[in-house]
Amino acid sequence: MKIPASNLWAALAMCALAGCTQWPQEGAGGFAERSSAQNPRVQHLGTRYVNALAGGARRHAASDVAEAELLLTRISREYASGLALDADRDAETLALVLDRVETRVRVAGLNSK
Amino acid sequence: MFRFRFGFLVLLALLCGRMPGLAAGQPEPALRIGDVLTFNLPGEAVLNKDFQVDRSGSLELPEIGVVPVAGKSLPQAIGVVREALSRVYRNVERLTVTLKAHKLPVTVLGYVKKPGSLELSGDDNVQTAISEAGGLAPGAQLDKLQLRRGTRILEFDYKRYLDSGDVSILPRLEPLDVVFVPASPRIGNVQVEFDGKALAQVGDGAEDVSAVKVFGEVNTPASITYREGATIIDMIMRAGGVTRYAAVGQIRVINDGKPTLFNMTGYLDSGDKASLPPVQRGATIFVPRLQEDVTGSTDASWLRLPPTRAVQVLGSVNKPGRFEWSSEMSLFDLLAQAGGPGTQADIAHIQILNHVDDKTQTATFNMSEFLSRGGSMSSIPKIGAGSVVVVPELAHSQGDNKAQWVRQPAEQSIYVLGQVGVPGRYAFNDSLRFLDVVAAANGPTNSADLRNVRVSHRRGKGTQVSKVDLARYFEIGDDKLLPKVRPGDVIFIPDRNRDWTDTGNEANVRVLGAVAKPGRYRFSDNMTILDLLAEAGGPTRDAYQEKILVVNMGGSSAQARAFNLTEFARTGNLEKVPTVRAGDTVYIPDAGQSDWSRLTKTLGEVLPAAAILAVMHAL
Repeated sequence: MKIPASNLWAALAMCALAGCTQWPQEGAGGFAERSSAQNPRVQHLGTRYVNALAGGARRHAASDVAEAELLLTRISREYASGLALDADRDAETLALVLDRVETRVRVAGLNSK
Repeated sequence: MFRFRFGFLVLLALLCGRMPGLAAGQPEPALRIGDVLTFNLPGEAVLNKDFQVDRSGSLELPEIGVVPVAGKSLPQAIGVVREALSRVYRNVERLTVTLKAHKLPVTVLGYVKKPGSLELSGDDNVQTAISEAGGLAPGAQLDKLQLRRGTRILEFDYKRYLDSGDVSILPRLEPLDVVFVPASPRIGNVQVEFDGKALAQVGDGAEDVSAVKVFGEVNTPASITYREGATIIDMIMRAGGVTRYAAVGQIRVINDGKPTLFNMTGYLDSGDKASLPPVQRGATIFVPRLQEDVTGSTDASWLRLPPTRAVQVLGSVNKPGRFEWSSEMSLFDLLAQAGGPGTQADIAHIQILNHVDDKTQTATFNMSEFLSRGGSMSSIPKIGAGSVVVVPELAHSQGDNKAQWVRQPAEQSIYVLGQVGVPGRYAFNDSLRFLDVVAAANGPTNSADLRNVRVSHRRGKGTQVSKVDLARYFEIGDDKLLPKVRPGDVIFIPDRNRDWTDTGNEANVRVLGAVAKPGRYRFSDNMTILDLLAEAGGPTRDAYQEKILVVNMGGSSAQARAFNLTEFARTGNLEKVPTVRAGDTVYIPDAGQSDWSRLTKTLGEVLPAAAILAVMHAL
């Protein structure tokens, strides 16, 4: 039996391509906190954070501010990299932390009057 | 003729005062043992020298022998000598003899430093003799010195001579005299090395019969030599004066067995010498102890203070003991009476044991808090007769004596373990905070993992563990990061280099593959994949940097992303840097896993088969 030459070369090319790897898509969001936030939830939480800082949160609730800062960074990255579910969960945590920060800032303001 | 004239002139010279002590009208002194005579006989060398009158009173002359001269005057002696010499020598009339010096051979014995025979100058006295004998030895009895001359013994008071300087008190020394210095009876019959100062302090009385004894409440009870005219004041002063416990109004003087009461206070107030009792030879003076001082002491004796009126203060106070209790006294009064708490006193946990009927009740008082914050006086525990107050002592250095701090009650302690300077159990009260205890343990060591401090709260039925990021506290300074600790809690500061299985995954990122130091690295959200690669020593030479993989371990699902480090380094495009969070995994493949590498490898395996197929096709 005589094998056609075109078939022989096609089989050879398939065998060669079988050795290639399929790589995942490129990542993103590793520096998302440096660019302006696109997600409305992140924008809202970022505004609360900035307002708290303006109210003297770094002086009255230093540890919570540090925690909020890290969470805000994390949430920005997660939304940018497609980890939306994790981002939503962390956003709820950040909202609670910001609640604490705002409370402490408010109490500190009342005590100073 | 010439010889006669010369001899005459010599004799004349001798008679006319060429000898010491010879003067007109005075009798010629007799020669004594020890005198030194100078002989001169021209032509006779053996006689031209000094000769001393020996202890037998004779001169030992060559070829003649002994010639007695002691007791004779010099001219008489010359005559005797010349007569003796004439039996052997010629021209003895030319002999001249002069008295060169008086010497005094004596012996000093007894309590002197170098007893023995001495040769003094003719005019020396007893003091010179004692000095030549090395001086008096400690313990010599100064007022009873003896001069022994033949069978006679002459006693004299050398001390009186030293006091007055009156030379007539000392006997004149004669040749062959013996000076004997006796020992004081106070030094006893056993020869020992003793302190002369101490001996003098107990008095100078030589004889028990005549010495005045002063004892009782005087500073130096002593037996003092009786002196005519000395008063009782003199005697007491010789005994060092009275002590502060002396009953100076009730001093007793016993003369000839008859006691007399002497009120020294009255005498000192009035100055009336008539109130001074006489002090006779052998008198006894007794200064009694003040009885009131004994019974009225602030440290009341057991017998004077029955348990129904006493309260006991024990522990770390300056003067622990039994104290008389009065209902108007407070606990503070009592502690003040006990000298106050000691420097190591734990005043936050003063314990009071009270008697109620036939039972006891215990209470603890935090005096430290009361003093710093104040409070109601009713909060001070009531104390009654028979109560026991114990002021515990704080533990000393934990490293020094563990047995001591173990005595500290556990419910008043906090435990600090792990990487601190001095791990151990520390006294703790409500006024202290977390950092106080850590500081008391000398703080964290260099290898302490400050980010993972654990506090085990053991109060209540269950336990609760809180994590403390002490490093973060030092960065931020917010006290809210520090936990509230209470007695019984345990603070554990782990080692930074502990086994990695001890640390949880939630705070770490695994870095695998072609990096210099693969491993688990602590990750914070302010870090990026670039920080991780740097911490892991960077990709190796054969790393496939175009396809670094990141696996995000999400709460719901996982996803993988690729990162082209080479392109990032070339473009600096931040948007293509993947997100990494704690818990994720980063994998750096090697160059063998690149597409081209795999393609060439596959072709290398396929081409031989293709060649065979091509040959078969040609055939």
